Amino acid sequence: MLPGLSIMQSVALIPLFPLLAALIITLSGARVLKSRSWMPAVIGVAISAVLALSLLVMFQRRNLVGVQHLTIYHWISSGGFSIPIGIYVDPLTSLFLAFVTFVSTLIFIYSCGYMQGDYGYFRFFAYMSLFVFFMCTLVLADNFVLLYLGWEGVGLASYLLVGYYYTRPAAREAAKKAFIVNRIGDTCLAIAIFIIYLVFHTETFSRIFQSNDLKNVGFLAAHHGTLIWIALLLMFGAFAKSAQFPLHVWLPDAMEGPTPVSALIHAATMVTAGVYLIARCMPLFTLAMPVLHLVGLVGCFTAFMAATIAMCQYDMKRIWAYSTVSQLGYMFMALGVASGTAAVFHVFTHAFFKALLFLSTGSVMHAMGGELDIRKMSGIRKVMPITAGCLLIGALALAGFPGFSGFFSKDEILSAAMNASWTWGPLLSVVGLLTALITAYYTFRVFFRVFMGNLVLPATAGMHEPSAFVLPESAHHEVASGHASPGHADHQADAHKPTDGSAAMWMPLIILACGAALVGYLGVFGGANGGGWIQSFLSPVHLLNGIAPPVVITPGTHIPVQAVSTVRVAPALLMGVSSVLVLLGVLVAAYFHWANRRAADAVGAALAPVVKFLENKWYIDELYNYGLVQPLWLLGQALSIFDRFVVDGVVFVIGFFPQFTGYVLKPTQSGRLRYYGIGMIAGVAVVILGVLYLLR
Amino acid sequence: MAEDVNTSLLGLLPEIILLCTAAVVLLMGLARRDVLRRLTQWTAVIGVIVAFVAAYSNDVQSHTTALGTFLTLLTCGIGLLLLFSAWEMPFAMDPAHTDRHYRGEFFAMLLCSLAGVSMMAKVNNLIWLFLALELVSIPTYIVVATGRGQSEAQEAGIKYFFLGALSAAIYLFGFSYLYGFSGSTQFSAITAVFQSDISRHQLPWMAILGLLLVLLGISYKIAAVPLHFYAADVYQGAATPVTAFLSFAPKAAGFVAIILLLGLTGWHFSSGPDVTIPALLTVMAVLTMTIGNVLALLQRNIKRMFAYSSIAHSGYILAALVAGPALVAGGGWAHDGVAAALFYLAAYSLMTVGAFAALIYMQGKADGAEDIDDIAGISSEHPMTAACMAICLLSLIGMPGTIGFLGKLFIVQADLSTGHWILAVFVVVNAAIAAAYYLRIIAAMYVREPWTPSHVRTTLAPRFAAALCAAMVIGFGLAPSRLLSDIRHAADYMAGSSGTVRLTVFKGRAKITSHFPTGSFGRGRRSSLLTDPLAGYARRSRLAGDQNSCVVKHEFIFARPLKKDTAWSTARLLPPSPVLERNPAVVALRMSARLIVR
Repeated sequence: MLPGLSIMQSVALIPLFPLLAALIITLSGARVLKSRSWMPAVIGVAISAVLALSLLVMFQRRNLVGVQHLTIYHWISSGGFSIPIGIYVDPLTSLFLAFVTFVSTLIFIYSCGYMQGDYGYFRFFAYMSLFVFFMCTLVLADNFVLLYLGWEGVGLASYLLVGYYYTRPAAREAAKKAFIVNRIGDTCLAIAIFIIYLVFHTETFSRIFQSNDLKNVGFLAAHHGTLIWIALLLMFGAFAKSAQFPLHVWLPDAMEGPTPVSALIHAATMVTAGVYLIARCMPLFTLAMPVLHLVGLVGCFTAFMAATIAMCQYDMKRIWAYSTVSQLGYMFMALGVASGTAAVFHVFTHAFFKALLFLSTGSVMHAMGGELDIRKMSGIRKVMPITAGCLLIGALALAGFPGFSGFFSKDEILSAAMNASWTWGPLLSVVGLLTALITAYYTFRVFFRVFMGNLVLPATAGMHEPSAFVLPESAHHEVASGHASPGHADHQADAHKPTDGSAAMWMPLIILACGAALVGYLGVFGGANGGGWIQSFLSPVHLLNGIAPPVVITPGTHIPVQAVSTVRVAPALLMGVSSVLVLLGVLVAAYFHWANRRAADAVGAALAPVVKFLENKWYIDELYNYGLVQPLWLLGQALSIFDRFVVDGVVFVIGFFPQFTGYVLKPTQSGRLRYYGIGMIAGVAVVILGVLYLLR
Repeated sequence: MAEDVNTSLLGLLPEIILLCTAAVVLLMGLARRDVLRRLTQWTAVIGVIVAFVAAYSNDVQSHTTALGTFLTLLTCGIGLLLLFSAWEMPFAMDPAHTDRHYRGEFFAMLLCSLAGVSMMAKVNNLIWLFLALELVSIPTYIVVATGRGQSEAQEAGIKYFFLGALSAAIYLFGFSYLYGFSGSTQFSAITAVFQSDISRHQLPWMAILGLLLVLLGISYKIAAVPLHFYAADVYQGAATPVTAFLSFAPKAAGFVAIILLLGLTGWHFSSGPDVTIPALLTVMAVLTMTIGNVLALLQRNIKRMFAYSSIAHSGYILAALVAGPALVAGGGWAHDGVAAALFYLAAYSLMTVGAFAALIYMQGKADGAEDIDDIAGISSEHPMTAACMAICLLSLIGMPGTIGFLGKLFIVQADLSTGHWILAVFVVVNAAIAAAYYLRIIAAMYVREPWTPSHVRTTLAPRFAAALCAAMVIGFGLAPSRLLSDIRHAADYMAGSSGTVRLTVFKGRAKITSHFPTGSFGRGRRSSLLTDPLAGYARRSRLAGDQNSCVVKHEFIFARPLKKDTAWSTARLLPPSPVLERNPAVVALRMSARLIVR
């Protein structure tokens, strides 16, 4: 693709452009680039996006077929153990790369406007570029160790960006929470990787997934339990990163980061890494069906739970955060019924509409001076029409309104679950339908509250959100003198009318809105045999839809095989039902939050216990607090006392010993050279005499 | 011997170049004209570069061993960095010096010492070995004493000299025993005598005593217990660039000498009376790394701390040497203690020279700040240099992604695969202890507020050296393959000789018997021989030793029962080639795979 390089070499460069940008910004952002720090970031990620899209086209045109490898070099190779740094490219990788870099580019452009004048402007772009680098590494990795590197790397970038406004205690706490909760999953993932090495003696994807071991009955019988453990641990890793119950608690708090971060990392890309992991490891999961079913059940429960919580939240970003958790639940539901294609399709559409929703919300936040409480504003479509239109499209897509992208992908999942061979599949589908109703309701609750009705603006409207960042005293001075960021002071001085913001902000919104409206059709048209493009595009991916390898089942082995799906309910009927439910949800929301808002309060008062339960997010944070944090804190206190009295005591004694020795030996130090010589001779003599004694 | 002269001389070309340059540099330092004197350093640098290129050329390489080439390249490379760190020694700063002779003398001495290190691996005679060791040491006595116009430096120089002479006496005494035992100073003759004695399964006490004395004497060069006492005082007393030099030159020379001397014995370690040598090495390694690290924890003077840390790193390398060389040439990293030691030596040189170079730059004056408080908060003023220092220190700790991590990894692997797990545990625990004092420096640079305003000179050379070291520490940490293959090649010089592999298939089980004539290497080496995924997954291996040989038996259970019940094959091990798998068990596995297919 690039002159002088092979296709795979060009692909290997995709992560490197953002890395280069991150390095450039880190080295020169503070002193040279300053408010131009966006340039390397946007250019880097745009080049990557172009390369990734051309890769997609290559696969589409069949210039590339199947799985492609390129080993760039061996990092460690020692005996039989080697860690190659290599890339693994198949349609799944290419699709992930394409939307990650494309959405990143749009969000980067948006950020230029959104973050303008912010203290630490360059820091933001350095972190964001670093994130894109790690995300691409994660997706491109051809072995588990490299994948783990990317996995930890995106976690690091997420930590840095959630804690971006590090002077705000809430941001610091949220960053720590995200990091610590992810630690649980990362540890599980690491252990899974260790076990994989023990079983397969390699970490390379192709050698694991296509190894003959996986078709060997004897091997499978011998390792059945181990494979279950591997899948279980991988699952926990995925759950932490993708915020599934019970490890979802970090994601809503992570909204403390700047809004483009929420859009990019905590909605469109990083949180789907868990889905990618399971989709990639589908060949292993199909050998551990109970775990796959657990994935589906947890996903289904999470989808429902998060949707109910979203109904009773008032902070716009938090609502979208819970909605993200809920939508991720849908994706895991699809994986649970071994329909990787449906999951990836939903990841794909979700990236567009959720990024759109977050960025539109960012525009609202920008215009309203950081205010996001939906009770404090109303009818703002009158002052920001473009944002209102874009948010409406995003809301329609999220709600799964017929004809918009979310509709097609969600429906794909529901029908996959309904028609899965697994007995409980239809249950998932029914819960999914109920969740779709709730989703439509909470989505349009936001839209009707904030954008329709009479114009009400919060007191802070017109000030810029980043000004909420409390700067250290010296930095304030720097900003005020116009040294670090010209224009910031102006923002403070004359608050202007809330608007859609600059072109850098609303242009990406419009592009994303087109995507959110249209990408769903890729799942219906454009494919071979009258199917969707996405299905035929992903069909070469090895075992993505979990058809187990042709194993000969002998009595005594428990290797479940995914039988051919049975059609229980026709997809068209399911589509009809879900359309009706969505319409119902929208209408209910319209009545309570646009036409007759007092009725909503009345109903809320009538259902006060339920509302309280949901407002408190099912008391899961409290559960963590009393079940985990407090006991651990007590344990920590106990250990601290032990440490202080016992360990410190021992250390004190040990520490005292050298001093004591020194004190005793001090006289010998007076004529040092002489005594050093004696010491050396004595050492030699002791050794020699000892050996002679032993050999006598 | 006469016909050897030409070839040996060609093999020694890099050393000859270094010594000639030393002579030229000595004269240039005395030149009347200031312009010429200013060119002294440049001449030295050019000399080292020419020596490097010469060592790289095929003609020279073909006349020396791979180990010799590797050591020469390492010496010239690190020597170059050391020259940059020493670019502006006190003569430039101190108006009291007339700048007339010191400069030339100093750099000439450095070059002589480098020539000695470089010559080290090319010796084939005890006398030569002694000469090379002294060629390394004597110039260092001089630069320690004269490198800094302070009484402390002279005190350090005197101490270093006297104790060094003492140690030389000890290992020379040991040489005399070796001579008495073998009747020759020629390495090949000594090896032959050792071999014949090994086959009789006993060594006379004279040989053991000689080896013990030599090892103990040379442990002075590497600052290992029990001859480590001098290190702290001398490191602290010497000028910082000289300290940097001390942490490389004597150490590299000492370790290569130990490798050569152990090679004389054919690394016959575990059986028979000569168990004393590995036992001594093990005890020395444990004591050296532990004492070094614990004492380093207590220091506040950075140079003193580096002295103790240098002792500790010697302990790590000793731990690698205990594991011995690879069983067969080209063996994997897991078995090859010598390769691990050489790699760690290269890694340690890079990291420590980088840290010293950064320290030299930060000190401002060559005899300036030495206390940890003096570099507090320096990162705000000199972010790049502080970053280089931090990278080198992180590598010394052994952070993944740096060369130090790989070094420790290989040492631990070598120890584990040869059954020396106690050493592996000590290495890991000590690495954790060491993290405490290295991180203290990083914390001081980044977290604390500056105490005193720093007076940093404008000279770029040490800064350049530090940046180069930091870049290589990261670069080789991420892409070590080239360095690794060179080192493996160098270490193959020491690898065991070839053996036979015998495969027996019986009742669906394949037994592989590897037979090595060279004695045994401890109880280990079983797990690591069998890491080929091609093998069956259930396996059992057993190691039996008899008088003359080591027999490794592996039993494989294959997924499919084997058809032919009794088939066996004996194959002479082939010389290493990239096509064949490198280790004997894997060769055997390939054979078994072929059998199954048949």
